Amino acid sequence: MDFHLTDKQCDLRNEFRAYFDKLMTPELVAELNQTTGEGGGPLYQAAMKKMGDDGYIALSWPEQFGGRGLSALEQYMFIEEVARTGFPFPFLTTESVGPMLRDHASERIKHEVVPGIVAGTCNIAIGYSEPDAGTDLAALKTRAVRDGDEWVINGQKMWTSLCHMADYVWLAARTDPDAPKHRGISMFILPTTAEGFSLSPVHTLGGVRTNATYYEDVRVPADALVGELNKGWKLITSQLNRERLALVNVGFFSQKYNVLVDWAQTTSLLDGRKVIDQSWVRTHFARIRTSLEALRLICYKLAWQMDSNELNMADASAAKVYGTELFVEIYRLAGEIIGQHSILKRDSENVNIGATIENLYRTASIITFGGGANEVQRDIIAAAGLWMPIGSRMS
Amino acid sequence: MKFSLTESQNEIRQLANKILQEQVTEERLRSLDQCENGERFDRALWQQLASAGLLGIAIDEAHGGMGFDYFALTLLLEEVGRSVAAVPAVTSLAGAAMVLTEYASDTQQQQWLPAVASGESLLTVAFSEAMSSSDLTPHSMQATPAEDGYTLTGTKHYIPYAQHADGIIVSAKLNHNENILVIIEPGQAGVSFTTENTTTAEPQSALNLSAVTVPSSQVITQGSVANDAIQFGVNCLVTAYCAVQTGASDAALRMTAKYTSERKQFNTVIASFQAVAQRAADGYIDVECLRLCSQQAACLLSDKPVGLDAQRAINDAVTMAKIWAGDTGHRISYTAQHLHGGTGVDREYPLWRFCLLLRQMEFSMGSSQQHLTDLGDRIADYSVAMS
Repeated sequence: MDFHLTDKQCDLRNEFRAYFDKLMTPELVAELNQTTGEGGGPLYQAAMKKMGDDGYIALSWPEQFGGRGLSALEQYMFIEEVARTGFPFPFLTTESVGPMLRDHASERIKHEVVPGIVAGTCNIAIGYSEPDAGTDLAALKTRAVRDGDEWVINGQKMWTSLCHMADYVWLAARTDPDAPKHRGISMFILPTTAEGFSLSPVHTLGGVRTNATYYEDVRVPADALVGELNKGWKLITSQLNRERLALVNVGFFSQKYNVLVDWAQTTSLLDGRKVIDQSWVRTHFARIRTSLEALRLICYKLAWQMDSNELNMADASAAKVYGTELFVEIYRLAGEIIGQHSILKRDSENVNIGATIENLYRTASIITFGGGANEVQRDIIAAAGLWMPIGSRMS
Repeated sequence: MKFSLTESQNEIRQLANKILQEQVTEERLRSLDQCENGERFDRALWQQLASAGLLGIAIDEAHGGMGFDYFALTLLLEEVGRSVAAVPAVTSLAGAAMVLTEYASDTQQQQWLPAVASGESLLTVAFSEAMSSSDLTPHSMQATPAEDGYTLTGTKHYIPYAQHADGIIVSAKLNHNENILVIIEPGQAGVSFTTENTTTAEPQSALNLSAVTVPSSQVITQGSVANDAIQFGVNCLVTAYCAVQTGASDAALRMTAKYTSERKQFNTVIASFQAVAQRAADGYIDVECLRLCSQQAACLLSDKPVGLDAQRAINDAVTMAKIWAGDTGHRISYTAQHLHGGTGVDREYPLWRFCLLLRQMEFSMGSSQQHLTDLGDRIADYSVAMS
């Protein structure tokens, strides 16, 4: 056991931190604040392109694909540093969809799409969920039917986030309606310019825009199929553990904790004491810090397990449940420390650090059900971690 | 960052697990339950652990031990928790022997450590006082200089196995900001005990010292070094409780998973009810948080800290581990009891001893809330920043 970073890992962290300190100019931060942290503005696009030019997008990819071959733990550290800055890096594109295209797409798609991902110029939206297929994703109904040299796609997807800025949709569709539900799904890459594709915005509580997307006789060439026919489910789930780890990265709150403590140490109450002189505030901070420490260790252990091929499915689900529920709780505790200022939004006058918490609290509500509802994650923990027989839902 | 054990650490863990799982049977625990107050001590098991070399895991080879570090010792402690063995491993090995190894003179080490490793002598530690919590600086135990040494007067509480020990490490106040650490022998004039019956029936006592003469040969350290030694001893003891708590909560949770997978109600095993599975899953997360924070504290304690930041990092890691030990212990104990229904409280079924042990560990050397208060004060002082 060793709980210290190696010298090489420390160097890497310093390199990432220095890079993002430079990248995150005040102008870019201002633009990101206006777009509720989802990116898409001109400065965001420029920053993505710069990261591509500097070789910072596909760091975990093998060198022959423009990456640096980082280990899972090093890649976790990279995401920690990105998350620390608040830059909305498209992890799903670079860590999940990108590697699947790189390894399983046709030669045409590999040439057409993959270089753009590495260069930071290509955006991909994910078309998994449907109105009737959420956590039970394999119940999806969108159909892809072969017609000569083409696939014809019909159906509707829900929560197709970032699709209004995307060049492609990474789409799960049913290709064999007679097979058991997990064995009749295939993956496609579909340009958003395709005829028959349309979308309508969905505005969420957090202020983040997402989309419903519609597919009416959308035709794509045969080689838009990625991976083997009817083997899409395996492809989707092959990256789930990495996605779950990225979702609960401790970097999303570590630097904010530091800033919040500093604020409480230096900000005066009406009676002249500092905010942190209140005993309940200290206890709140102690709870936040102790919980974050556990999350930090859970995440590093999971990343280490990935590198040593010892990944335990129960631990991946435990990280997802613990991390997502912790974030929601921490945003509440942080809001309490700040007080009524934590309901002022970023575009208000007189904002302080509370505006960040206001935004986080509002946008955090999706994480406990997104990426696999926590109830289902707990079932996985009970089954894979404690060998308890699972209920009828899974059979 | 590395989360696997070395080969020799694995061997230690497997050896400890094998002996404790084989020896600490329900039958043996039941016969120990019949002991008189203050006598629940599995001496035969203690000697078996000694014969296997396990009492000397963290004692130097020069003194008859294996010469591994504190972390390796916590592997034994986790197994002690997993088996609810009635042995003084925490106080004698993680408390007393670690303090002697780090701070005692060669003569003192030679006097005590080989005998601790062989099981011939038992040591314990007296840090706690009435109303002391996570702050274990001595207040009421007073030391005054005397001819060739000191005179100690005062009372210590909750001392595990005090009346079975051959030596008791006692902390005392020397003056307003200096302390002293001595080793008292129970036969010395002015030493008396009051038995304290604990929730687990682990023997504990109050130690009353009435003008006890302590020659300089029994002084381990004094002055500012004594403060460091007390902090080190407290850290070792608290982290040891966390390791025991990890083993005990893991065992109680797994016992619960097994029981609910066999117990049928409404014609089906109750583990298949999602409400039951979800609560057990929360327990799994709690145990994992406790395990990782405890292992981190034990590893950091095994390093030699250089400088203030490193010392703070150790203290903070230990505090956070104990907060998890308290919270996880409480939640696992209650979850295990609840999911077992009436079986969980029946003394014919083995769960009850785990629940009592979890509660005793929760409140030993500072509850979660006391440690949270400490940590909060440190955050106000130096932020305990996230890297």
